[in-house]
This record gives sequence, structure tokens and C-alpha cells, in this order.
Amino acid sequence: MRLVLTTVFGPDDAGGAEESVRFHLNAGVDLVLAAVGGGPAGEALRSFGNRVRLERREGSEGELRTRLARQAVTEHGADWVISGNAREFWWPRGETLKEVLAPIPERYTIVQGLRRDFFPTAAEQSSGERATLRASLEHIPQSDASALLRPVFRADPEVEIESDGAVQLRRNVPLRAWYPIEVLHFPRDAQPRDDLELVEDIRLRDALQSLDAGESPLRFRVPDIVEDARYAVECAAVGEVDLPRLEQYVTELEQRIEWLEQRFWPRVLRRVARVAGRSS
Amino acid sequence: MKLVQTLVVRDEADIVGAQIDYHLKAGVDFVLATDHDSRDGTTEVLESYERKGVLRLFREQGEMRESVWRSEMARLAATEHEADWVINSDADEFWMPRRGTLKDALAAVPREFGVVWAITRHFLPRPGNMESFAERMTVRLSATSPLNDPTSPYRPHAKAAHRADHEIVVLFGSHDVVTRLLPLRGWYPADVLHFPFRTREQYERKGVRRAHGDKPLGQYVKAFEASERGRVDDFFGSLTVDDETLAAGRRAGSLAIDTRLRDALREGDEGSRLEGSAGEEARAASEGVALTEANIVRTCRRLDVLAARIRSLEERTSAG
Repeated sequence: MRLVLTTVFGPDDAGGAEESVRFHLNAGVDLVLAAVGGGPAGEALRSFGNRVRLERREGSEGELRTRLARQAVTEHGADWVISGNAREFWWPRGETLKEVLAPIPERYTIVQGLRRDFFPTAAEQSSGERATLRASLEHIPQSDASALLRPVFRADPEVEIESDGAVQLRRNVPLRAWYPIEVLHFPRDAQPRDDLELVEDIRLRDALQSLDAGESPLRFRVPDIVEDARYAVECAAVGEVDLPRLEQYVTELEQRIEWLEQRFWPRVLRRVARVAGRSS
Repeated sequence: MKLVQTLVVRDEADIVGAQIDYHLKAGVDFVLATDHDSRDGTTEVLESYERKGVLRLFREQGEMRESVWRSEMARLAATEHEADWVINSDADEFWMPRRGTLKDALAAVPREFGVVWAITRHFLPRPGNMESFAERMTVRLSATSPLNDPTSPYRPHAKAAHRADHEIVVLFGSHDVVTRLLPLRGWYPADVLHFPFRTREQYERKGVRRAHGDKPLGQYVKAFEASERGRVDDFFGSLTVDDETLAAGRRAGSLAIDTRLRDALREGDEGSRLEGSAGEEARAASEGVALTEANIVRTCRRLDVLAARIRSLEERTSAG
């Protein structure tokens, strides 16, 4: 199985680009396709040799991401593609990203990562240190599930990616309500938040320190059943699937089947008439 | 009332004898068992019950066709064994009524209903393998939100019991049936105590053989891949509950001590009951809610597959 990460780095991401690529190459990614706008980010990434391909940053965000994701498939033989952002770290809830994706049943074409937003303390903000506090979903149900979910998808040469990261495949079958990857997200210009219940999460800080100390590849801890049970509470709080949404979904499918039926019988009757006309 | 159990077994020598003994004492009158090419002594265990006249054995080889075999046995229960009710089990599952006996529970089902479900309660492996599985495995998952991970052996589900029906179709895993009988949903008169992974060796063996079955579940694929990469110790270790994890789980409320099967097998009777303390009843109810939520997610996932098929038809219709 071949896993490719496509990502876009802006002029302000030079420092983070090297850190991000190094993390993902040690977390199970085989190849990084990075769009850079020239400058120091590109220079920093050349040190990774043939495990990083640099692409030009051209076109709109959606066009650029779509082009990279298609290239991952057509030119680099990807089986799975992550379309990431500069300030995201895709963290597997298993030994590596690849090992989390490998046993996913064939019928699912999209696996979703759960985004974890980190907020700095006042001290971290002034020192520029990486934030280690993030919001917990356990007590804060979300109203917009889609904003929290980031897709990883199976290879598709016709994939379309929107500017907001939404993915459209020829066959879209997402794995819903369980998110085997956490996307640790460090928003640009994040401010300290006193209004949210924050929990300490030092996983990334420790992983980056391990890389600095020469550990390669990273060894991720597989969560135990108690941690999985707690994570299940957060997955439920995302609220991606519930009964009202299910009912709405059934209504939508009924309407689509009705549309198909309306077109099916006139076509059959036209064909029958044609055949009858020929034989008479 | 005559109660018949169907059983599909493959390489479960460490547990199948206890399973049959328990159910015969708990009210099952006869067992119909299909042995799928076992190589670990399971066949001999089943043959010993056949000689006693309490079990009819079918032997199968080749590709796993669980639903077909199970349905044939469930129909035979009706046509040749005069069953009133049928429970469909695996070798690692133990039906335990929440009160009374299994026959009491099934006899209480109003005449117009023909199918009821028992909630599966998952038991977790513990370190070591010196004692029997039932002595060792007394820690039960008690999650109040569903684990919807398709690669987890601990997803919430339920098992179907039904009145005898000569046309019944038992679907994969016996979680549901196709029948004209009316289902009674939302009332779970029994628990199915489930012991899927018991030792490191059994975990690897089961994963490797089941990963290529008629419906290879994610947990078996995971075990198979761990075996291929020589990482079984690590993977089985992540499933095992040590004392520290147990303490954390009890504090969080996601793990519970449950000695019902251990006590039943020790005492040689049909088993102790929960006898409904208010706390235990509330806990069982919340696990019932988690099962409902899991079923909503399953339905949504099936609709996603259906939507993909509809989309493909829409594209062909638009193109034509």
C-alpha cells in the first residue's frame, strides 16, 4: 500500500514545512507532494531527496489540491491520499498511518480524520512555543460536524477537491462516526481561550522531540480499550449521524430514485415503439 | 417448550465444550452444530456430544458460508427437531437471561411476536493464560457510546432468537433474520456474554483463518496483518486489559467486573443473574442506547453504499 500526502505551503510556512514533512514521512507516509511558492520552504524540503516532490503553486486552492491529488494517483501510484494543510499533523490511532488504513473494509472510499484545534496559553503565545492545550469534544457537542472532519481517500484519478477540503470521488462512500486518525491542528494566529474546556495533549511535542533525538520512524502508541471508549464519546459528540439526519437522507434518496424512475419508463416506451416500428 | 441452539464452529477447542455444557444446563434441549474444517480438536469435542445424543453434527469444508449453514440448521430445528424457539450462537457466546431462565424469558414473549434480541456483552482478554478463559476473563466492556470502528471486535451488536420457522434465513453473524415472524424490538431479555479473543495464540489463529472468510471482518484482517508482520504480541497486547487499565476503566465507567459466567461454570448450574440492581439496570439501558446508536450508524453506512449505486445509475441515465 502506498500513501501519499499532498500539501500546500505558503510563504509564512517555511519553518513549519520541514517539521511537518519530517513528521509525516516518519508516520507512514511514503511520498509528499508539496506545492510551495518558492523561497525558503522549498529549499528546506530539498533535503528529503526523492521522498518529497516539489510542485509549483499555481491556480486556485481547489484546482491546486485537485491537481496534486490526481498526480499522486497517476504519477506516483498512490493507494490512499491525504490532502493536508501546512499546520496539520495527521496522527494515527494505531501503529502508523498506513497500518490504520490497511484494514479499512474495501467498501469505504473515504476515511475521515477528526480535527483537534490547539490553542496557546499566554506564555506559549509570547514565547512562540508549540501549543499543548486543545479543546475536548466530550462536553462540547459540535453543531457543524463537517468542519471537524478531514478526509483521507482512496486513489481516484478523477478526484475533485474543493477549496474547503471537501472531496468528491467517482464513488463516495465515507466511513462515518469513527475517525481512526486525529488531525492535530495549530491554527495560524490562534489566541488563548479561557471560554473553552481545554485538555493537555503533549503527543506531538513528544513526537517531535523524539525525531530531534534521532528516533525514526516514529512508534505510535495503540490506544487501549479504555481510551477507545472515551474517544467513542467524542466521536458521538461530533454528531455526524443521528436519526433526523438519517430520515433526511432517506428522503433525498427517495427523490433521486423518483427522478430515475421518471426517466426510465419513457425511455423503455420509446425503445419499444422504435422496435415495434421497425418490425411493422 | 423445546429450545434448540445452532452453532457454527471453527477451531474453538478451548471453549466449545464449556459453551455446550453451559447451554445444556441453561435450558437448551438440543444443539445443531456445523464444524467448519476444525484442526485443533474441536471436531472431537463435538463428536463426544453427538455420542451422548444431545447434538447433531454437520461437517463442512472449503469456503466459509455461515449464513447458508446457519439457515439450514435453523430450518432443520423447525422441521426435524420440533423446536419452539431457536437461539443462534458462536462457540464464544453464552446466552444468559437477565432474570429467570432462558425458557422463562422466551416463554414471556407475547404470541404475536416471533423474534427477540439479546445484547452482546464483550469480555476482554487479561494477561496470562494459565487458568480457563472464564476464570481469567471477568472484565467486561461497558461503553455508553458505541465503538463504531469497523476494525474493532467490540462494536455493539445483538443476536437474534426466533420461534421455529421452516423458511427462516439467518443473516451473517446471526444479528438478524429474514422471516414472516414479527420482531419484538427494544426489549432484551438476555445478554450474550462474548469472549472473542482469549489468548495470544487463539487471536492469531482465528485472525489468520477468518481473514479469508465469506465476510472478512476488519478485526480479523488486522490480526492477519499483524501475524504477517510478526507483530501479534503488540496487537494482542493492545487488546489485553492489565490491572492499571482495569482500574482506569472502572474509574471511567467503561469497564466492569462481571463474574456471571465464571460463577455459572464453577457451580455447574445455569448461572447467576444480575437480578437487577438499579445501577445495573441503568447501565444495561445505557448500553442498549449505545446499540441503537450503533444501528443508526450502520444504517447510514448502508445508505451511503446505496447512494453511491444510485449516483452511478444517475450518471448512466444522464449520459444515455
